[in-house]
Amino acid sequence: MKKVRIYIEDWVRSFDFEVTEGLWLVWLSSIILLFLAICFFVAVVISRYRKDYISRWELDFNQKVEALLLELIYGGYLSYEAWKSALSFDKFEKKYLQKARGQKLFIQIIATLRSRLNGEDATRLAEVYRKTGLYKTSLASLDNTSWQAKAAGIRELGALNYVEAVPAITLLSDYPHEAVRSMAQVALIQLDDSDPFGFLDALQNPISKSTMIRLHGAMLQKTSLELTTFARWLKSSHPDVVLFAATMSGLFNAAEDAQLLAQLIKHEQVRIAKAAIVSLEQLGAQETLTKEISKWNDFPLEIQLQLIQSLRNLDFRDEEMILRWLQSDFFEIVKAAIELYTDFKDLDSIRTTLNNLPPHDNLIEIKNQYAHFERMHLS
Amino acid sequence: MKDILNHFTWFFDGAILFYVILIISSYLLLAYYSAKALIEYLRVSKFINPHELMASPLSPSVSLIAPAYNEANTIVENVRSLLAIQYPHLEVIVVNDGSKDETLQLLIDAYALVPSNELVYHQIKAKEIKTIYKSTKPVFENLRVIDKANGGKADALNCGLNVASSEYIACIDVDCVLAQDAIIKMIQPFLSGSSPCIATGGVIRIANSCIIEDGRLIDVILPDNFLARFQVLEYIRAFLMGRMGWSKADGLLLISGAFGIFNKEIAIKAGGYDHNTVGEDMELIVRMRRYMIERNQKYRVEFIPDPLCWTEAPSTYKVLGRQRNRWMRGTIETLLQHKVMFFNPKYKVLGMLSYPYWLFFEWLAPIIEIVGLLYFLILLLLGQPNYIFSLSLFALVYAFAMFMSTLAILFDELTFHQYKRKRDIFKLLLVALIEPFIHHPMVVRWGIQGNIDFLKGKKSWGDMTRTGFTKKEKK
Repeated sequence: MKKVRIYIEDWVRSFDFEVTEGLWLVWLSSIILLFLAICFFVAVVISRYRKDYISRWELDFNQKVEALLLELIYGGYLSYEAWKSALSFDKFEKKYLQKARGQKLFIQIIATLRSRLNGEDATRLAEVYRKTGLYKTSLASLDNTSWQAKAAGIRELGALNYVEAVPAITLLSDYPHEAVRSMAQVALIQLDDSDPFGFLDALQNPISKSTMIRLHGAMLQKTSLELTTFARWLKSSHPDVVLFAATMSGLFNAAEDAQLLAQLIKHEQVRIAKAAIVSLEQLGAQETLTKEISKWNDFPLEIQLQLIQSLRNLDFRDEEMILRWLQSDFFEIVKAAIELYTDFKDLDSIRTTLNNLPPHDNLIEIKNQYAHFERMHLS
Repeated sequence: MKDILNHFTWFFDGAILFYVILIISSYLLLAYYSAKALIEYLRVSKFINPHELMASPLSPSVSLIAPAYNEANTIVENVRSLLAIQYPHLEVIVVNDGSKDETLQLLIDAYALVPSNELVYHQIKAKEIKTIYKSTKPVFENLRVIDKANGGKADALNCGLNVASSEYIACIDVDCVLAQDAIIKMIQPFLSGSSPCIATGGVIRIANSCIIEDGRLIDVILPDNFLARFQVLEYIRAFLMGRMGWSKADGLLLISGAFGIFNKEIAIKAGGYDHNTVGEDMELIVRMRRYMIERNQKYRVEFIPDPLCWTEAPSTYKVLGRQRNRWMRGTIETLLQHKVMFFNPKYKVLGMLSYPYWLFFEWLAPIIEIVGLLYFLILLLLGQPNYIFSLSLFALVYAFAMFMSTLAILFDELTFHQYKRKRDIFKLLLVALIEPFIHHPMVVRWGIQGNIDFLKGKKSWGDMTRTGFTKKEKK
């Protein structure tokens, strides 16, 4: 360090400048920063040329792999040696295929191709994955310490239908990292025919909205699933599992669950209660929902609003009830009630109803708003 | 007398050096956090399939609010661009903020709009709505146009908030071009994570010279205009290295008004946009964050580094000056309005780091820079300039500026690789070399002017003249 200091100070003195104590550090910092800036500059240029080269190479490689795979599945033979000794690969590519990165790329190409194929062809492609032993690379990823390797491995095993991996994937279905957990849960739905939702029983970690969307997508794709009830999980102690089950009951028309869903309207978590109401609406359970109105005053505002919305979608026409809602102190309820009322009543009768309401704090504001609404309607 | 002067110069030199070291350290720390956040984002993105969200009935609804004032030249095309965005449950709300030109009529004609009867719950105070229009054409069924009395951008956004029916609201500038998958990417943080996300911000990129067709970005080209090129570099630095870093450190104070998504409920509970500031975008985020912290509620504010929103940057010094002047006034207003946060441990990173950073390195930086320059000139007049110190400082600052700019370009190149032409990258590197000499002094000047105008009580936005995007020529 001393040598560097003396060198910089001598250099500064060579310009006939007086050297102040400690200023050499500023110069050293400047030189380092400038040097790094030049390095970044060079890195940008190298990266640009490298990227162009790699994308060209990858495109070529992908095409070769795809062509070989199609030859394998349509040519009627499936041997490990066939793809390994394929003449279309050059020396570098063959070497690349022996490495984990090359194999991963190969698996990705198989998985992508499989998602584009159907029936027998897709099955044969999964066979390529199995017979070539590439599944071992995916299985090995599950033991990797990196979460990305685990998630990628699970995705490959699920996409290429390697059912033997179910026990190993089950162990990761409650993994702390969301991406790994989510991939494992999706893979279990894809692979486990005997109990695809079994992982929900022991789940401790949360199910995010994004995972729920992913699971629903996987359920839709698996046509062999017979989903008649989610009752087993509607009683779970894990609120996210209950939410998942309540949501899926409606989406998959699980009519058997109506009674349990009705009980969930009183759930302490508003999101679960709302999901239960939406599912009952999807099941067309107007009677069950109408019954719940008797407990109206016990429900929080959000639940009341969801109830009105769902009843509206089910062509609810109980004028007495709507009149009660029109007297609410909450503008949102009155708004929803007016919207519901306009489905089958004319504006005159709504205005008369509002004018005859007993006074309360928000009534003037509500009437003003309604007058504005009416003006807009008439214009 | 000479002794006093020596003491004074010694103290002043030390103070300036300390300030420079502090600012460099902050930027280095931000760059480190940004790099970490970018790597994490790219890794997680590999496991997100946008098609799942597109096809799912469970994807949340989003209301896109776009205020428009005197936008007759571009409004029809801009709205077409908004309607082309890919998202399953999207409602587009265009708020005509009392335009004096043909904005409304053009919309009515182009989209076959008719008045609709809707009851609006005014949860936030906003100017009166004259009419809400809906289209008679089923293809535009997700479009609503609100015609209201003029009240400014914040008022128009609040009006949109009152009308919006979705769980999440995306606020954008109507003249921006959004990537087709902008909402899909920006909504992701709301769907995952251990704590609820209340807002996400997106990267804004410069669209000057880029090819836009039917409201879609076709080709990304570095602007021909030099002023716009400087802004390209500034934006890459600010978004990829600044906001990304702050997001990782949980200290993000600003989501650009050009494009951001918010949890509607929290935005309304926090009081919506403030009419009394020209920096309403920053102010809302600060208020939403304060709302959550003061109620001890867990929350997140995230930033998405993908280039999702493209805007036309000012291409003349006059217009750019007005914009920067307004940004400075907005910053000052917001910081003063929330001064309680300054070094207040209750607000954690926000109070202890973000607020002081914005105060010392955003608000006060141009003032300190000018004071430093004046100090040098005074010493020059007195015949006592410390050339070696000034030169050292200049070398350090210039080397650091180069370091930051090239690093930002490298970040962009390694991640989103926007400028495909090789010559664009070389031009950008050239811009990095000259920016500290040409563009930076102007930015300081506008910052100072912003401070002066703030003291004068100026509240206006100033006209933002735009030339329009480059369209693909039809053969």
